[in-house]
Amino acid sequence: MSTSPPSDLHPLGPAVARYCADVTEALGEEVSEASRTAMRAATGRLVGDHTSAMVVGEQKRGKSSLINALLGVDGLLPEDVDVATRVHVAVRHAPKPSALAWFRDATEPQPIELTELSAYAAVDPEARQPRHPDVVAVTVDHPADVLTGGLELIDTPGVGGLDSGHARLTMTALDRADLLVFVTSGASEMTASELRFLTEATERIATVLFVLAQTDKHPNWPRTLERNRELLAEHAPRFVTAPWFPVSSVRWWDGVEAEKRGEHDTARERRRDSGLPDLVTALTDAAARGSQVRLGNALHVAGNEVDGVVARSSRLLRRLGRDPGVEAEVADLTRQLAALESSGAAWRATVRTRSRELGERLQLGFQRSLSDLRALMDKRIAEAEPRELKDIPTEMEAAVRALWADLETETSKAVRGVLDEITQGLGTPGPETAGTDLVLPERLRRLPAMVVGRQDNRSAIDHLERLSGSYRTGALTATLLAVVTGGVVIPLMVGVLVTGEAMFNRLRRDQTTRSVADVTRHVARVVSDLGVEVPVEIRRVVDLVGRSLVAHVTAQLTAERAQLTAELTEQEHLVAADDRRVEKRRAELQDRVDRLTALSGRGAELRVRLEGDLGGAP
Amino acid sequence: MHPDLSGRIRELCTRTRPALSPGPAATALDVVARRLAEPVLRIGVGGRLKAGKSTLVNAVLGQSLAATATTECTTVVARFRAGPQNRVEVRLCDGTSRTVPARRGGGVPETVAELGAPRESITEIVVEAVNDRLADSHVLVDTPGLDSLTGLDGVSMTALAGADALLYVMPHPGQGDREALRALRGTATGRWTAGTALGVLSRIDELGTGRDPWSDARRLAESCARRMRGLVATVTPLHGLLAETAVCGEFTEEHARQVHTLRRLDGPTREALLYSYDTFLSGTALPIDRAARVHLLALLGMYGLREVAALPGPPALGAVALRAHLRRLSGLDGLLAEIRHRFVDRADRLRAATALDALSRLRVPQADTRGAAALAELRAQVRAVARTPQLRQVALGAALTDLAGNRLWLPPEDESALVALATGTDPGSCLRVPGASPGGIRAAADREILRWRGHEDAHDGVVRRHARLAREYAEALFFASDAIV
Repeated sequence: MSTSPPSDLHPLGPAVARYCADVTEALGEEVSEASRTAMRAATGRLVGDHTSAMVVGEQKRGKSSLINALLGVDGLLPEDVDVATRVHVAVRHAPKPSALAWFRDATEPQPIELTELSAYAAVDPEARQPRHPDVVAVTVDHPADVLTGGLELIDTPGVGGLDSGHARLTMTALDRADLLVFVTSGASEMTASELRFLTEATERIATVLFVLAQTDKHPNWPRTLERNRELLAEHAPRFVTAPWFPVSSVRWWDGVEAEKRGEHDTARERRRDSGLPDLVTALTDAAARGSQVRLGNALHVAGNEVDGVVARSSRLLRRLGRDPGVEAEVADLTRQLAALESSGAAWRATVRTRSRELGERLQLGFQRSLSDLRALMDKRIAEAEPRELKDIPTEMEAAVRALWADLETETSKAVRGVLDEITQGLGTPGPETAGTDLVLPERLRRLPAMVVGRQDNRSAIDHLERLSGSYRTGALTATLLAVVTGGVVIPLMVGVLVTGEAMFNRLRRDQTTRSVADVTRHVARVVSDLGVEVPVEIRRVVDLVGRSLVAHVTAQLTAERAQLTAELTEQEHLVAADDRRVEKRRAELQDRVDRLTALSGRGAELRVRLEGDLGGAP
Repeated sequence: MHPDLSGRIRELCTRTRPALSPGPAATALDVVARRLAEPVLRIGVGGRLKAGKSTLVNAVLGQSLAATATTECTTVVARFRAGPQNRVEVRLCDGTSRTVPARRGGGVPETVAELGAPRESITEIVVEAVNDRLADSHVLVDTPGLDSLTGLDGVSMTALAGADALLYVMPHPGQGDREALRALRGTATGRWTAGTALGVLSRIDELGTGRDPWSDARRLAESCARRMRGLVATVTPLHGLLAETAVCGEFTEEHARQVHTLRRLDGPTREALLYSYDTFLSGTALPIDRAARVHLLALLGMYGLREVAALPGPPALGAVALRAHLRRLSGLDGLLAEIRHRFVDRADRLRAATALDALSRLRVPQADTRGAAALAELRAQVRAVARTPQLRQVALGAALTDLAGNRLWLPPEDESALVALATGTDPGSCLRVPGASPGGIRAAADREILRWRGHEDAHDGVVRRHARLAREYAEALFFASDAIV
């Protein structure tokens, strides 16, 4: 679409995506359901692991308009002259546009139409009330070019003051952002509250891109920009060198309009003057570092899939040529997988131990947060003017939400840690499998080292590398990673949220707060409720994590073993069949092996190019 | 004929003064008396950084007297009042003051250096100008923007606390403004309520795409007024720049000729030229030099330029006609009407309320029996004055404060009735029967008396207190209408 900004994606992004698609298509029905799931998960990870850019700033700075222009989709996110955005809206890449609304009282998100976004994510401009007050977040999938490199754009409600619980929620959400896009207005120099917000937000995030928005409305913007640099130098010197992007979404759209009218020069000029292409470049560059690593991982998984099928087909070919070593090889693999499935396998013990530790850590963290919350609320009550008392339950709800988000972040981090260790355990031969020497297909020996970045999944990738001794376990580990990011953590978070929501409902029901005594009582009761219910919930969640992990890993191992058994069966059938059929099958197999080998070569070549781009990264 | 409340209070001050020995109470009393001796209402203009306060001040004064963005003096509190000549009095922290020349044509000098003292040592500058509006109706106090990194919030708040009424200017009303208003009310002992404060939605050409700001502005102003109910009376949209240009006399026949040149361009050329400030400044189709374009842009902004360029009708429009058009576009008359209606017409009671508030806080040492007796007498008199209907209405403003702060809970219908009583500018609007006959007024007042009597035995003390005030005010309206008959 010509309406998208000229994106400067990772140059290999499209090639890798195509490669993954080709691999999925080439493998087609020939692979088991489990392997196809693994493929899908791996391809999903290509765009599923995002570099999150959180767009923050005071209200009415044009954050939503900016994101719409970046996406090249007019009016996708709700914009209004009155304050519009009410909840966080995360936009990620997907081939087809779709959207989900996450409700406070539901475990499952509800699919919504893109045209309904404003109804779910914004305040009704007429009624000044949210039409769906129980929506807590909205996620949007969209095929916009700017997102294909793994960039996730998160729109946030404008921050108006830092002392409210709502601002604290935004702060907590920042934990999940990789970089900050700080939007200020061309109208006025930075205010004291903006700087306070910036200072607090960047305690958690190092990378900040400053955007000076609405340059079309303020001829004096260069002076404002100059003044902002001065103010930063004086009040927040560490941002002196941070880049500034003067942009105008209006001008960008005017460029799009000009393009439609066929006025190419005007269009080019408008787009250049909009300042948007520079911002897109900066954002995609920032995402590129992450996307290089992720592209490498995707290539690895796809390559493993191809090589796995090639190895299997080659084995069959050898079998058809009556190679005696093959049978023993398959039998060994089957036995090893069975051992891993067994109830005594070492990785199960690891899950148990780490789950327990996770539980303890979460409980301790929660107790600390709870006493912080209590202190915060006591202070708030002591300092509040009488007329502000009624606001305190609302502020408390927001603060409790923030506490929940903290808990969520901590949980998902811990789950990743546990998983890293389990995958490491899978690679380490347990007692049952000790001494089993797997036959390593030659092609796998020649595999270049896995692309490793500074991402937090580094250890998992390290283990993958070590695991390549077992020709399928690499893909298995990748599947596990996908499972954890997509299949375990989200239900977990939802589970946590559900408990939270029950509490929030209670917070909301108590509206008769007129005196200090009422509010104090209310706060004390909520804190005590939280203290009773949450520890139980944490235990439940941690137990769920442990059991989910065990179930997923076991299912993967079982599927693998089923695949190998099927292979053996086919071989036996073929052995029994007549020569003509064997010959036909052999030709088919040879053709397939050739095609897949070519595909594998393409993957290897992409990997080499990607490594070249990484400039000698480990 | 309304009794002059300010005069009565001034008289009280004069009577009480001899009984007070020199000290804080005497000084405070003198300040009150001096303020009441000033003939006009003092209106403070506040808002966050770059909200458009100075532009509004100039537009309301009809003269460019306030410091604008291009001068440094936006960081100093400036009071504008009528005087026989253009000059600036610089008041310093040590209590002294000096007089410096005004800017050419009157107003705040361009640089702080011209004030002859470092900014930190200046409490305020008093700008005197030959200006009919200042002489007739009000003194304006322009303040440095709140929430700036220069840290002048305290200075602004103190300056605003001394005013009788408040114009709060906001380009994008939001939580920051609510907080600022609350803080302002804190320093003004709760006097800023919907009865004494008026919101102004400024810089409306920045809303949306800026091509048709008025429909957006009206909607935003309305929803903002709802959100800030109890904090401000209404929110009035204003295109400050056009208002200033329309009334401050800088738009001359020369500019009108330039506009004419612009209007004569053919449609597409004009449209391309007026696409943005860049294209306007650099386009080759317009036979006007760059400096003149910069000036024209500064006077009209892109919205103003587009509007005047698209004017239909006779080819040549003079400066007078164009200024009139700009004035219509700016919304200035709506704002002036609100200021007149809510502040100037009620100037006496607003000034009296400020004075009574100050007087009620006078204290003398316990040992000073003569002073204490004089103050007790003063308070009794103050209470008597406070019972006049107009001041009862001002006192009802406290109910609005409680409504805004959620300390006062009433059924929606009663809440609306209370807001009308406290903010209405004549008996009809107070009783929600605008334009009613004296009989209609009486009937409506009677209904209100019954309504509030019903609340007077409420369990909640806050409701009881305000219900009594509301009932008394309704009774005052009832009897006043009787008198008319």
